[in-house]
Amino acid sequence: MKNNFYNKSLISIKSVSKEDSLYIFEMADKLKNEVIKKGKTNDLEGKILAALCYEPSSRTFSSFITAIQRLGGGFIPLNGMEHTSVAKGETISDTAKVFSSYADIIVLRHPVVGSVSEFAKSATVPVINAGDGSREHPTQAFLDSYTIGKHFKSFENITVGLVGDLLYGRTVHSLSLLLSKLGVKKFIFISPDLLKMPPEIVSGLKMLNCEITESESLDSSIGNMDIIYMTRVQKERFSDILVYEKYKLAYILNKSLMQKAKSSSIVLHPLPRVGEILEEIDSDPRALYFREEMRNGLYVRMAIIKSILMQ
Amino acid sequence: MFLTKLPAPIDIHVHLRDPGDTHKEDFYTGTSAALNGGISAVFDMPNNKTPIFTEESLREKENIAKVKAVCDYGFYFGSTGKNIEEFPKVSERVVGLKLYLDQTTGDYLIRDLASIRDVFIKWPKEKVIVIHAEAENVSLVIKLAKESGNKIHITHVTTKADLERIIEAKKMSLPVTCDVTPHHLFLTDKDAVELKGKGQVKPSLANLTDKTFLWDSLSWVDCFSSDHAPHTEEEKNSPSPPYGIPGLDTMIPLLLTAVKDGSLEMDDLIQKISTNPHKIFNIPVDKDTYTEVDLDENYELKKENLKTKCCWSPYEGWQLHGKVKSVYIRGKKVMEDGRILVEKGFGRNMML
Repeated sequence: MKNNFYNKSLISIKSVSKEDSLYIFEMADKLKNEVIKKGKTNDLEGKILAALCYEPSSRTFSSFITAIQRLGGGFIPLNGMEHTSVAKGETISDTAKVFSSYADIIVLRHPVVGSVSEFAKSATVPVINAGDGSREHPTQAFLDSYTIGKHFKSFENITVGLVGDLLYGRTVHSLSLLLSKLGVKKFIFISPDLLKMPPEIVSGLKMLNCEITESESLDSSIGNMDIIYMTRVQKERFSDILVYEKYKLAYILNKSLMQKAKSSSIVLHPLPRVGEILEEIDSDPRALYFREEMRNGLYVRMAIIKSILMQ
Repeated sequence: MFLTKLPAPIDIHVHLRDPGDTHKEDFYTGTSAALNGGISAVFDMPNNKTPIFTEESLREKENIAKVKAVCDYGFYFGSTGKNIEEFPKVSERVVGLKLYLDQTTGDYLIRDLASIRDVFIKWPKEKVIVIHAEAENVSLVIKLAKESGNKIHITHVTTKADLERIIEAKKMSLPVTCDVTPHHLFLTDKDAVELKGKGQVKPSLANLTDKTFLWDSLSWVDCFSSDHAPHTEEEKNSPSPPYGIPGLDTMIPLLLTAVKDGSLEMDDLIQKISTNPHKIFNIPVDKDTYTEVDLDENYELKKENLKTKCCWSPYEGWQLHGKVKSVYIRGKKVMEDGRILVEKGFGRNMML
């Protein structure tokens, strides 16, 4: 398979093909074997990754740092960029130029939509989007698709349920797009009316011949889902606290809901969770968010970094 | 060469035949086969020629194992419901109780509801009851466990229907755990025809649908166990072959092969041969006990590399990927490249 990632930035899932995804998955498998056997490889010895976070991130940030270390490279960790020269008024394009001269690759998280691609235009090294505003989070989409691919023989026959805040939840945007490219034909979107999947994403998926069911009720749909992808419903999205309380309770995954779910289904969550999956679910064999999803994040991010830096 | 460590693998279901049938296996050859296959502790079943239904027979077996075993071990107590007065005397000395609700080698069946219920009530709640149950009997023991609050473990689950029964119970958070054997994961009724007497085992090898379902539903399965049940080749080739397949030498190598071909995750393997058995039997993991394996070594399984006394395997000639290199128990190297490095009697009874 051809490496189409070499020396390129990864900003959006839009530019990624099915073959590109499979290339990353295969690379992730290989690297996983290496990590299980030896803990690390030395593929990227001498390479430096700069991880710049303009908004709080602990998981994504540390997973990139771990990934570059397990590939034998070094890193510049800046979690809390808003407190650096940025506070003195440095423009995003200047920051991009500065860090391009130190690092071989830059991982960027930024709260403003579009800022990562603006940064990448000025950077002279490849940039990975680790979440920008509420639009995209491509590496999370890769790792979730990878986890799903490990559990089902094909993407064609599964029904993917995305639950929670589908309007602002950036992981679900990149994920639904990538899954449709990989062959998923059926989606169930469960959200409060206020936080529905953006219409342009729904129409985009329909253009790819996907069957979309939208509903407010998790209880009545959970039995049809092969993937139960939970996301956080954030309080600050609601102007009426009573409305929030009502929805919050409707999207809490508990034992009685899991009894209605298929035995072969899997539960994913990009984490952190704030109560939308009860701890009583953690020991359910279908709950993969701690058992596999996080670990796969490491292998997939290793695969992405390596593919960008090595031909 | 890089070696991967498996922490303290336990095989929770073996028949080492000692005392009573030491022409098939004994504590030395059986525990050697365990080490050869990367297993550092075995839990031995009570269906000896004279079944372990009394404190006296348990103590006799303890004394024999003490001078012969080269890996660690634990014993099960058995019951047909007529020896309940023995329970308080033995429960601390064994890893658990074993009940046979369905046909196996020998006459150990417990069938009537009143007896099973009585056993459940009298056996200590914190200690697991391992059960051979098939079909409706699976539902029956789950129902009883729900009433009594006992921890039960259904061993060698074979069919889709039975695993589905267990999954339903697990969804309701009942205290039910289960294991599957390598022969039900790697062989089917088609192989049974080929293998003739050597493919005779209880529960019988199932069809491809069942086998596929076991693989697809592994996340619901708590442990792997070998159900190592050796009989001589002569016995197995006779017109009325006894039930049982040896598996101690081969369980981990087969599972490593599955890791290599992607059908099993390494983390999952460790869960099911170490983490979960320790949890279910409430035994702490000893950090100085582990097995080293070479995931890259490719080899053909040959008879002469087996350590079980019966010296045959249904997997002879199979190409395996992933080899057991050495085993450490309590900090001491006890096996390397098939050589046993400790004297008979090194192995300890984990409950004493």
